[in-house]
Amino acid sequence: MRDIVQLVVQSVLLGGVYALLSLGLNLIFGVTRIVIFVYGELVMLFMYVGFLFWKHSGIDPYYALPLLLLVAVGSGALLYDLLFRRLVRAGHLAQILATLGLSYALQNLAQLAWTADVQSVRSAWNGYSIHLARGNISAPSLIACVVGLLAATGLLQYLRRSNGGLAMRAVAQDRTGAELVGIPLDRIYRLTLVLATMLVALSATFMLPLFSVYPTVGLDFVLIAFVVVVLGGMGSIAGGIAAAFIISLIQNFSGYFFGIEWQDVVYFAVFVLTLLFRPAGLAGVRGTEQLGE
Amino acid sequence: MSVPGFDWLPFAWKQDPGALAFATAVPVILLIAGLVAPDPQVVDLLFQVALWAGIATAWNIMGGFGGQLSLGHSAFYGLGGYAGALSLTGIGLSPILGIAIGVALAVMLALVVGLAGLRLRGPFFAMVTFVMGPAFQAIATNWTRLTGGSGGVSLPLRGDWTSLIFGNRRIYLFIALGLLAVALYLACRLRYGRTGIHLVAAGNDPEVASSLGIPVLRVRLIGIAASAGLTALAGGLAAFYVLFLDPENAFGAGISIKIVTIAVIGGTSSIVGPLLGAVVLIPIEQFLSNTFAGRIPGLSGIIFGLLLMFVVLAVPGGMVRIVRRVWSRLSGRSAVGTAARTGVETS
Repeated sequence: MRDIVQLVVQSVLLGGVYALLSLGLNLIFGVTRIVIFVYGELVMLFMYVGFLFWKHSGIDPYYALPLLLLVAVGSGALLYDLLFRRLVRAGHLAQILATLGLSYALQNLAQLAWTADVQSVRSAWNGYSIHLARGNISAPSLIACVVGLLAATGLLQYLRRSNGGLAMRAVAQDRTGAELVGIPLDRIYRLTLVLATMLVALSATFMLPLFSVYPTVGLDFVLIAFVVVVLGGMGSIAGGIAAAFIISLIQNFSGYFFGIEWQDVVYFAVFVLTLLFRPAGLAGVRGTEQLGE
Repeated sequence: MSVPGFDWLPFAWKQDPGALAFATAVPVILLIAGLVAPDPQVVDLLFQVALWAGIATAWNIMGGFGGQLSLGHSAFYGLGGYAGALSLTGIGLSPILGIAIGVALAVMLALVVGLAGLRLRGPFFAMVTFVMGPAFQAIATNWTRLTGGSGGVSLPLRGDWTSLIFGNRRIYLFIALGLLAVALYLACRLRYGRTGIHLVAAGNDPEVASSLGIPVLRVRLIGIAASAGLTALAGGLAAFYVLFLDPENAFGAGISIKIVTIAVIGGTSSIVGPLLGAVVLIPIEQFLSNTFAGRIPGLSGIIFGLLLMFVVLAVPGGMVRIVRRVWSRLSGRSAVGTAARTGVETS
């Protein structure tokens, strides 16, 4: 019983982290209809930036957040101008292949630049923990979970209330219609990319004390983000948040019984079952799975 | 011209004589080169070209003609390798039977992911196959009692033909060429025959295709099953060529990406694109890893990743498209019409 309570608590914390992790992917897909296979490598690169900041300055990685957000604004805009401006008008095969090629190149570049060693930061916060439900909760995972929920709420509010968010939703619903009523597609797409890259920077900062960094770590993260986003219903932020908690529950409980090293098999099984029985995802409207081009 | 199994030939010859000639000439040239080559290193290079040309040709049946990208072909490749190797080391069964079991498993897996992903439009098939490779890598790593875990499986250095272990390395080249010939034959048959034309139509527009009475899901399942079976066969051969396999080099994402890169850079619209891709890229890859392996790790990964991105955006259609354009300029005829009719472009 005590184990079960612990597992549920851990799952809730991890679910918040997964929600945070998958926000950017979901936002980009929702607005531009592009599945970016390079998403995991973006997380990996921002984790390396945070790691190097900590290593050379000795300052706690949480304080690197402003720096990472600044880098995110620049690199998000650059990524749009150099790559995505072409991709949004290409077919979905080209979108997949181009982002896949870039992700493979970035993995190998990261290995060249920082070696294949597994590295991790030692944040002062790792020492703190909270006693709850007869178990210990480490401060960094609680912080990451809270930040994840705040970011998700903030994003939903932004999409609901601000002009930029409304324009994004209009583009997501009907690209041609949005263009006809005078929404500047180019600017909305760039705004989406910048916002999503900032969400990546945010998740990288708060995952840094929890996960090690190595050149192929992005693959682990992109698998999680894919499963979460597809189970939630592609492009649905609220569905993605619900799915993040379900995935972390499934992962923790299957890990408890079979061992955590089987998690990739669990993702694959969840993925196949979702596509077989509910391809539109939890929150998806019937027909969402048809949104190809 | 109604030889059983070759009824597609007149149509193919009318559509694309250049491609058929190239697809016949390359294996023959590789065979002759293998017979006369004095240097084992050259024989090794020829083997690699033949092997990866065969795998990329198999991938292209679904990825090119069918227009649905599999990003997890390493799962099929690794299943062939592990089934062959474990049947020999585990229970002393001939790997010929073992690889056959691997092929059967790969086909079943292909049907499952096909049923999950190929009914849907959009990126779902690419996403589910992308998750498939790491899943099988995790199984190979963690089911240690069966697979030996991350330490991998070593095969004995000596054996006879029933154990597929040959002292003469040339024999592997001949088997790989046989496999390439089978892959090219099936690709032609699935490209120019009725099923293939249905497959291309379903790739171009599934709604229109099914409104014309084409059984979209069925032809797609045939396509992915053929592609997976051939890839498992090649994976088995590769394991017995190297005499060693571990989870990373059997199921790793690098294998899947290598297959996709060869096919896409070569050109996915034609039966000869993957062949052309392997003939050009495999020697470059071998040269890079021989020259810079110690000093710049992952150099070929960086170059091929960026090249994949560049080709998809700047030269959709790949090398085949460039060759066709040059050819039509030289001969003064327009080959663009043919190129446009022969399949799905990547953009």
